[in-house]
Amino acid sequence: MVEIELSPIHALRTGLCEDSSGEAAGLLVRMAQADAAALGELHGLWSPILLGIACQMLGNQREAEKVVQETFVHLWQRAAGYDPHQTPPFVWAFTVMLGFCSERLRSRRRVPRPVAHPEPIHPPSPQEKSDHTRVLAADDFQRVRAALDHLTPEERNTLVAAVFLQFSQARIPQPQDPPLSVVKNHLRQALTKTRNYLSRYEL
Amino acid sequence: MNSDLYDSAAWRAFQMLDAEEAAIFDEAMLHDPVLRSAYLEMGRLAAAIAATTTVPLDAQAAHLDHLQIRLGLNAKHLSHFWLAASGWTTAVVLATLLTLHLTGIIDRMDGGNAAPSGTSAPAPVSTTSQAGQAAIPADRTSTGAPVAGKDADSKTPTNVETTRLNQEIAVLRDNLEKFQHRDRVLFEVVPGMALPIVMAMNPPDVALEDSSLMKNEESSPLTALLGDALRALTGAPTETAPTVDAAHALDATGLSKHPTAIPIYDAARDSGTLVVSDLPAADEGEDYNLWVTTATGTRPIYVGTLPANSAAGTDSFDFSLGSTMVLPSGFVLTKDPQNAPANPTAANTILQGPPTPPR
Repeated sequence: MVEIELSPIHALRTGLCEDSSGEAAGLLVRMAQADAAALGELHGLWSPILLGIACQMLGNQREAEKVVQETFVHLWQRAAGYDPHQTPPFVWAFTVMLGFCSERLRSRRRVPRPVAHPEPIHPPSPQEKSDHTRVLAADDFQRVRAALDHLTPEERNTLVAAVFLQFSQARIPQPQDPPLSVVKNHLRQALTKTRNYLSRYEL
Repeated sequence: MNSDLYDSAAWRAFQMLDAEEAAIFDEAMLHDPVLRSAYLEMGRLAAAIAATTTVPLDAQAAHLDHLQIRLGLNAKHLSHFWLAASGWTTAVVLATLLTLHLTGIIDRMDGGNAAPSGTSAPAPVSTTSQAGQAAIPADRTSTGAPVAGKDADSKTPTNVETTRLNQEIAVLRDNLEKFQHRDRVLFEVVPGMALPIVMAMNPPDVALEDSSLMKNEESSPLTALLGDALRALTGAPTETAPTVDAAHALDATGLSKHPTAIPIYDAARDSGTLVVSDLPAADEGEDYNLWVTTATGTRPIYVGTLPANSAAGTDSFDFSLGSTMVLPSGFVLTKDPQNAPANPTAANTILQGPPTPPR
């Protein structure tokens, strides 16, 4: 197969994170009906991955736990208004948690946490695979992983760091941060390549 | 704002826009379905990348319990307080019974003329010829204390009774410890249900009576401060002026001739505010640092540094301790060289609270 570089595709539909089994959406519907058991099930389903993500974003497991709890409180309270046609369930939860993480990062600007005493977190091992197919379809894992493998190390690292809010306005700038123009260039290239790669699945 | 649609959507999704740019983007998204679609697509991509590159962490079962308690879905939380109250009550009752019981036994031993009611063991400890000298239980003999009486018939029941009492005391002590432990667990911070911790911080040399929070309570700003905190807890609208203004009132009342501070900390939310008054500006190259002490911790825990520019006069600062499991027993404000917070000592402590009672 000949590898060609495609130009950016607008209105691209990657179809990522679809809740094809309808399990999560079903639990959200039950939560909207104040079914506490559904909350427990969804918590069991999503909290490990959300906790891992929040840890990466905040670098502090205790804060991450609180953020995950805030997220589930929000999901519980807003489940009735959730529209699965707008956003897949996990993307909704991720976006909600992103907001809480951003809030936490912003609050650190007010009273900075000590840099000398970092909280222990459990960074993922790069070799470790984490295919939790009840969170994300196995196909999605494969597609995203393959798309990331097509990036240069700089592009990949920049894109992953951006996802984990490492370039967020809410975060306290660090001396070792690369210039924003460099970050944006890497991100543009990474996103273009990733979207193009993922679009092949949609053809 | 970036010209490219997807660039903007990406910067927004990765929180790279400042507040003004984000507001413009959000407004534009309301009227532009393509932009909205790009943003949603970027959200999917970000979620998928995050899930793909993250190893899930074990969420403890307690997290779900706390969540359910917070949402009022678990009836157990209601029983927590009942159990806690009943635990203390039981402990008090047991302690009272134990005291009464022991008093009765000592009286019996002391008098030596009354048999324990309801028992068939008739022979209490007899006294020697020295009236009023209380007999000493048999298990004290190892310490060299003499055993009163020489009659083996009377000594044996006494030993049995003493042993039984010792066993009872051990069991009751054990129960008491269990109740105390249980209550400590039950009084664990329940999100959304704890009241804020409020205390006064004063210079170390200020007398206790001068540092009372409730002194001159008619005009004290504490009521306003607490009112705001409680309103924040209940979600009720705030009616009073900001806490900074309330803290300013200290000057008018004449209460504060020296720097003071009032930390207000909601352990359930790990959210605190430090209101300082009459705090002189930090010297060039110096910072004010806030520390928290806990009942169980051996050393103060560093909380953060007050912003250099604003740490003067009267101001308020938000802080968090990083965990809802930390119950502060005190706060300390130190002045240290910039970027070098040092453990609080008498030399660098500017304010501390609560004040230590005079010995």
